[in-house]
Amino acid sequence: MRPFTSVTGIVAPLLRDDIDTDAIIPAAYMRSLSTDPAQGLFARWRYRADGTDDPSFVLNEPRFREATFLLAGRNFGCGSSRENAVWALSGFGIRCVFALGFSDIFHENALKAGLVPIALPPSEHERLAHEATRAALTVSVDVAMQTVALPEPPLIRFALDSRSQARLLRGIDEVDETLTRRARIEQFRIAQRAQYPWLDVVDTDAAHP
Amino acid sequence: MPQSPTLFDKIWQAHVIETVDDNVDLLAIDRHFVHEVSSAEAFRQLDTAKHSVAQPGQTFAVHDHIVSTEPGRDANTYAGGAELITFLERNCRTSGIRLFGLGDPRQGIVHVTAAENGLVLPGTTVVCGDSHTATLGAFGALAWGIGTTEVAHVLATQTLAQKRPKPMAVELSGALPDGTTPKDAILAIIGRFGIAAGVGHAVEYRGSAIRALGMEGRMTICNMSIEFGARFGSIAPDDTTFEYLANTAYAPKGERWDSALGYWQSLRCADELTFARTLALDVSTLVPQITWGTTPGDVIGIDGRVPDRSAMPAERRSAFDAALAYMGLTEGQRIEGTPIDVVFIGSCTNSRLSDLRAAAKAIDGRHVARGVRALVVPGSGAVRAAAEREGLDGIFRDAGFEWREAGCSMCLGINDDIVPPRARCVSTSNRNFEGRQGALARTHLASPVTAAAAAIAGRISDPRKVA
Repeated sequence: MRPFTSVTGIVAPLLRDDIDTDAIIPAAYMRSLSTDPAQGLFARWRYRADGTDDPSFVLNEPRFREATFLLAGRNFGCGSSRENAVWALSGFGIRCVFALGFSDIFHENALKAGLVPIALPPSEHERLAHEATRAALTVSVDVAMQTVALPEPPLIRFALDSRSQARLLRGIDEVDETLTRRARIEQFRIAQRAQYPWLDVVDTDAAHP
Repeated sequence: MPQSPTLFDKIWQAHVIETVDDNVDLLAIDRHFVHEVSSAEAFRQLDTAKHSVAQPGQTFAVHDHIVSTEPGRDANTYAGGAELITFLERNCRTSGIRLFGLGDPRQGIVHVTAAENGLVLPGTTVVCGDSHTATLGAFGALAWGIGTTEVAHVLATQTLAQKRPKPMAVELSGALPDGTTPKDAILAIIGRFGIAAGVGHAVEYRGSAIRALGMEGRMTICNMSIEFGARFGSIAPDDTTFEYLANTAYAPKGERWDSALGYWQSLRCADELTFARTLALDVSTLVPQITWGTTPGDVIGIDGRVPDRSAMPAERRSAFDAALAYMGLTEGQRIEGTPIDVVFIGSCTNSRLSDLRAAAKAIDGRHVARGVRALVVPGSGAVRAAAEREGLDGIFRDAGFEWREAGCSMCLGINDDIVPPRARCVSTSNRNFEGRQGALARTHLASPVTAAAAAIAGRISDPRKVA
């Protein structure tokens, strides 16, 4: 995972509620191992029927083509669990999404793949939305300090759980972290099997039609 | 926290290996299901990091998302489509994971075949790289959908670190009236409480209406938990659960069954639990439900009208306008009578034998309307075979439906089973998002009975009148 300490860039406003992961990346961009997810990002909104860019879509505006942050509305990332949605955003260059709220699965996927989901209270969201729609807004997100700095104070504060924060800062994968507990996991497994012997999968004749 | 533990609390607590952060526990995972799409990158991550699969015996794989559902199909589901099919086969072979793949009679939609084969047991933790995994919570399990990085984590460790959600109850009382199904009940819940009502929560469905349902209806209810934002949805196990499991291939047998049963019976909870939140619905006056818009919360009764713009909160109006424009509908119009082009009966929501029986009964010897393409896609090879033993395939074929092989098909439009642009589809699946069933496809979610009625009439119809 790519480390995330402090990142500065432009905020692209996509102020819609309930942006689902089918909108973030349609299934048609998940048909092959070699498809670049970034190509599918918001494909149904970003491209016209003939495949050319739709100039009215926010990420096609010249000032937002290099956007580093996305600002959305309520319940961002609802629907399918496809992590391709996170990869599509990251591949485009988005490092962090601001929203009024996130779906549980998207939130988890984002944190585990190095994209920072920041849920803002309505007042802070309104402030960011106001600034970002007025002119190209540059902000700095600092994961160590858990702050978003706008050109003018005050800072916006956000909270990450301490494990996610540590992983983001150091760019470490969760698997490596968990495998340091291998002995404890195995111990649990043995005790669990002793208590619930029926948990083991047994291949019977009936299981082989 | 509730005063006495809920079903969710009991199962969660029994699987905590270690608390790793505030409100974050490392959980032991009892069953892991993988499919050809969301597992591919996970196996690549494992390969890159040189990790192996920790517990292949607790992992089961299926081909379901991209497989062709064309009778006589092979792995070439679309140009280049064999790649993901064979990649999963290779990964399973290398890791020692059982695969219910193409050609295996157990092949089918992961949540359908896992249930039929007794792979999900009460009191267990179950994950899959698919948001509809809560379907399997119907067995009194904790079953939830995960992303690909989490799939890799489970493959490598057979554990998952999770933030603990808050328990929430959905109480269903009353008896479902004629013409309505469990699908109508869950659509009504989503419509009434909204698509984000369950965010941060684990739902337990309770009440007399739930107890009266068989396992298939319970799975339909749990299936759409994610459509109102809940990652977890479950139902406490009872005799209905145990009777279903007793006839399945992988459920424990003999002494192992007896010891399991004792534990499973202890999972039932007292009635007077406190939940962080409780939603309630009396289903006794329910009418068949259908969606009009582009989120699963845009639900009305089949005898209802598309809402008026003036009834929408101000901040919802632009989304409302966009939804109506996309759907080709106007505010205030009656939904009944809207002409349709496609009917899809299938998906992990509604592709089980009881769904197909209900649809076949609604057809009642009539024929699909001219110009309508109607498909029945059974949820698994076993559902397909059982339906054929009862002659349901003949009823569907005679009526002009396509009788297809098992798979996810037109629910997510990832293979060539798609709804054409601007065509209108009544679908028994779970999502009506823009583009979900194909670019510019217009989806109306409904029950198998309502879908069958629409296929016959060629327009959205009240199945209670048609029957």
